[in-house]
Parts: sequence; C-alpha cells; structure tokens
Amino acid sequence: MSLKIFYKDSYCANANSIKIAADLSGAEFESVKTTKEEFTASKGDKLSLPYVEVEEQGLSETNTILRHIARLNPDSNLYGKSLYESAMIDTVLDHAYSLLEEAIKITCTALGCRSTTSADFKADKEKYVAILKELEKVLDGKDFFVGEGITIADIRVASICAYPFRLLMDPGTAKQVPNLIAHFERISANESFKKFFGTTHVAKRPIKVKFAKK
Amino acid sequence: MSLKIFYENTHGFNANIVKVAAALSGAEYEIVKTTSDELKETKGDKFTLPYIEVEEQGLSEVNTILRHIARLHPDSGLYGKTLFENALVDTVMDRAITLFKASHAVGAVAYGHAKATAAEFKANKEKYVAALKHLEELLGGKDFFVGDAITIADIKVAGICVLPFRVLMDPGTSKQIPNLLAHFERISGNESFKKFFGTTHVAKRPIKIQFVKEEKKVKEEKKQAPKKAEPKPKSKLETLPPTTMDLNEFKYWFINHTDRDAAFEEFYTSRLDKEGWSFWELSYIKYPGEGEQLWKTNNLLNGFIQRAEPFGKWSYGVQMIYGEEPNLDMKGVWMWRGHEIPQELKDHAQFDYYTPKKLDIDNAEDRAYIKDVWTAKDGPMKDGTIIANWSYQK
Repeated sequence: MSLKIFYKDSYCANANSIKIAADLSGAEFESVKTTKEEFTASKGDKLSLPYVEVEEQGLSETNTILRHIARLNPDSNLYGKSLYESAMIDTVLDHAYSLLEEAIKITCTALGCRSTTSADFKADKEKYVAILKELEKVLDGKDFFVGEGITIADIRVASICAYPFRLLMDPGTAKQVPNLIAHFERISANESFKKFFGTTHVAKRPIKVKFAKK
Repeated sequence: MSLKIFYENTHGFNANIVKVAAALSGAEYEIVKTTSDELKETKGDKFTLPYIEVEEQGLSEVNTILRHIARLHPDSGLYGKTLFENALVDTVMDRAITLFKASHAVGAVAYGHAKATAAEFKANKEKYVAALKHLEELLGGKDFFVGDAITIADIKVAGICVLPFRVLMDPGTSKQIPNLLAHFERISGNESFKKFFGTTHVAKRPIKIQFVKEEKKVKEEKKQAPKKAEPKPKSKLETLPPTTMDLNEFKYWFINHTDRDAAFEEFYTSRLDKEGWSFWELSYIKYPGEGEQLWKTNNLLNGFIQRAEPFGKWSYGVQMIYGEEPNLDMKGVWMWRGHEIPQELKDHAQFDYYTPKKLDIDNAEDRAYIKDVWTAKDGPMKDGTIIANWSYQK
C-alpha cells in the first residue's frame, strides 16, 4: 500500500515528522513537493499541507496522518504493541498538539517572521516551557514515551522540538527538562530522523531575539 | 471487560462526555464519584479526573479515554468503521482541543469564574467562533462528523458545546454555524446524552456578562501588589544547625595569610566544619563567540562576583578566567553553607549559565584541586593551566 506525502517546505517540521514515520513504518512512500496554490487547485481549499494520500483517500493534520500511517502498518509498532500503549501514545500526541502552537510562536519570533514585544515573548515562552515540563513528567525518565521502541509519540515530540531546541534552549530550561533533552538527542540521532532533519543539536544558550517596541 | 469511570462533579462536562461514550459503546461500566485528593492518594499524581480503569490499567485525558473506549468496543462504530474513518474522527478530535480551550476561556468569564475586560472577552470570543466555524466546515452539512452514525467525534464536540451554547449563543454566531447547531440538537437529543447532560438548549441571546473596567482591573492588580512587599521568608540557610566555623574570621585570615598553601592545610585539618559547609566547582557554559577577548570575559567574571555579593555571608569563592585568547574559559571553586545548592544562588541572575559540580574535600584529588584554585592567583595551576584573571568573593 503506497503512500504519497505532499509537502511545501523541506524544513517543515510537520512534513518531516510524517516522512520519518513513513520511513520507520516500512511503508512504500513517495514525497511530492508542491506549492499551496498547486495544492489548492488540485485538492480544493478544505485540505492543507502536509497532506497524505493512500489509495486515493487523502488526509491533512499531522497527528491524524501519523496515527493513520501507524495503523496501516501495525507491525511497525509505531502505535504501540497493545491498545493500552496506543492510549498512552494518544496522551502524548495531545500534549504535542498544544506544544506545537507555543513552539511555533516563539520560533517564529526568534527567526523574525513574527513581531512580538519582549513581555509577550516571555509569556509565550512560559507556556512553552510549561508544556515541556508536562512532557518531562509523562516521559518520567524512560528512553521512549511508550514501551521500549520508538513510536509516533517520540517522533512527534522530537520533531516539534527540533527548531526551538536548536535556537532557544537556555540553561535554566534545560535543567528543568533533562530527560526530554536526552530523549530528543536519542530520537534525533535516529537515521530516519537525520535523513529529513539533518544533524540537529540542542543550543547551550538562546540566540538573541529582536523584539518589537510597545 | 468492565470499565470504571472516576469523576468529581456531576456537572463536569468532560466526565459526562466519557460517560456518554461508555453508555453508547455497549460496555459494562461503573461510575465512581471521588475527589482529586482521593485520586492522588490512591493512584499517585500522574492522573487527573476524569479517570478510567480497565483491567487495572488507568488513563486520564478525555480524548485518550474516548479513543480507548471506542477501540475496546470496535463493534460500536464509535471510532468509525474503517481505518480511514478512524483518521477522520482523529481530525475532529484534534480540532475539538482548540474548541475546548477557546470555549473554556469565554465560558469561565460568562460564569463568573474568571474576570476579563470587554476587549479581552471579545478577543477570546473571536477565537471561540473561529473554532466553531472550522468545525462547521469539517461537518459540511452532514448529520454526523464521520460516517452515518454517532462517533466519539460527535460526542466530544457536542459535549464541549453544551455550556457555551446554553449561555453565549447569539444570532450573529448562529447564522455562521447552522449545521453545527443542527448537529448539536441532534446529538444532545440522544438518550445517552440526555441521561448525563440533562435537557440542553441553545440560547437565542447571550447572557449579560459583568466585565471588569480596564482601570478597575489595574486597581485590583495594584491592590494585590502590596503582597509582594511582605517580609521575605526566612532563608533555609538560617535554619541550618550552627557551625563552628566563623566565615568572616576565616576569610580575613585566609585572604591575608602570607602562605596560602600552609593556610589551606591548616584550614582543612583544624578549622573547617565539614558538617556545615560544602565545596563546589562552578564552570561557565560559554556562548558561541564568548571567551575570545579578555576584557569582555573580565566583565562576565566581575559581573558574576558582584551579583554574588548578597550571598557573601554564606560563602567564600574563587572564580577565574583561564586559557588564552581566543579560547578563554571561566570556572571557580566555592564553599558555602549546607550541602545543597541554596535558593540564594539559584536566584543569582547568571547562575543558570554555570554547571555546578559538588566536590568532596576528603577526596585527595578534589582537595588538591580546591587548594590549587584557591591558591593559584596569578598561576599557572599545578597542571600548567594559564590563569588570565583570578578573583575572590570578599
């Protein structure tokens, strides 16, 4: 059963997390680079990128796609080895859904594609760190979020963290999430992960961010 | 396979959503009223309410629980009838997370549990309506979000909408989401839904909300501000057992001693109160570009020592810059009261940029290192390390 993954940007963390899952699932897959305009012209405006097609059935939304790939390839154990493990993966994916929103805000500010005051950035960062700490608690010192092998929970969280960890990690935050950082280093060293994200690292100090004046 | 559902409030909509799903799944289930404190005591602090147990395996988080119940009962069709339908249900469930957050923000103000100005409420309401419109689009005029029968997607969305639709619906919003309203009326008319949520309805006009005026909100915040002026709580360091070593006397004696090597030996053998003091190395975590110029690195060193002044009555430390341009580094050895890192040091603005490592003065190697750093001054150190600058805390 072949999978087609449509994406816009090679650096897109959402698209890359899907490619990693596809790679690790053992599925045959093809990555198709497209533009928003081309995509809207062919699929309509109800769907968004990244987008996946399997036997002409299409899906958007990264968490949905990750679950679908994992279900289509149960032997990969990407959705855990039991229904209970699937449930625990669901919890992590839901936390990741909230993490993504905050990670995008602070990363976009850091990269200059979003204009924010320093007070607003501080508030955004506090929400981001609060979710990281929740995930640290869920990870609880284990190597993987669920079970003994990589699942879509690990792929998703590590993918979301790739850019903010590279640009914005600071010693204060690092001290609060040591296991999550070790987890990120473990998952990002995976060959499939490196194939799409390249070599990543966790910054020792954050980059200087330019803020808007009030 | 029996299911136990633990909940706190009868009107808690999250718990009711879980109960509706359990009822529609065909599962045998038992409902257990409890409190968050009791749950914490019996299950630990990893779980929150609502919480379920199936064959002694426990889960929290409503979306997780709904999916689990649906998977355990595939014949119920609650997760859809095919893998593709499962995926479509997932999309709605994820969108429901956004709706939940947005409706919670407006609902809390409407019910008086939170205060907001009219402008803040308006901004939150816009996010809430945007989330509703997104779901209207996903529903697309169908009777159910996925397939031709009720799934956990329908239960979740309708469950979230019960309270805000009852108190906050207005004609302008209802015109934008006619299908979602029809969906809500359909799902909330289901017997299992009514069993736990009661009879629901959609308001024709929103209730009047008491907003806080901007100036009043600022005044209220200022009223709370004086709490910050309360006296600082006692430092934990003041509660440590008394020490036999007088820090000021030690500092005066050690700093002015003409033979620091001998002074250190005397300090270790007869002056140090090992129970009362501990030793730590503090190594600076360099930022790319730092350590290239001595004058800039000196500023970092001096800044650290100056900010450590308030901690001076509990500590003695030596901090130094070593190496040569453009590869200068900083580290030091400190002695302070107690055997943990105290809050006073954690509050130091630059402490996060240092890696602390506890040293054992009774270990010969550590002791030699402490002595070397404390006596090196102009250097080099015993291992040949060049010292570019050396500073101590007075």
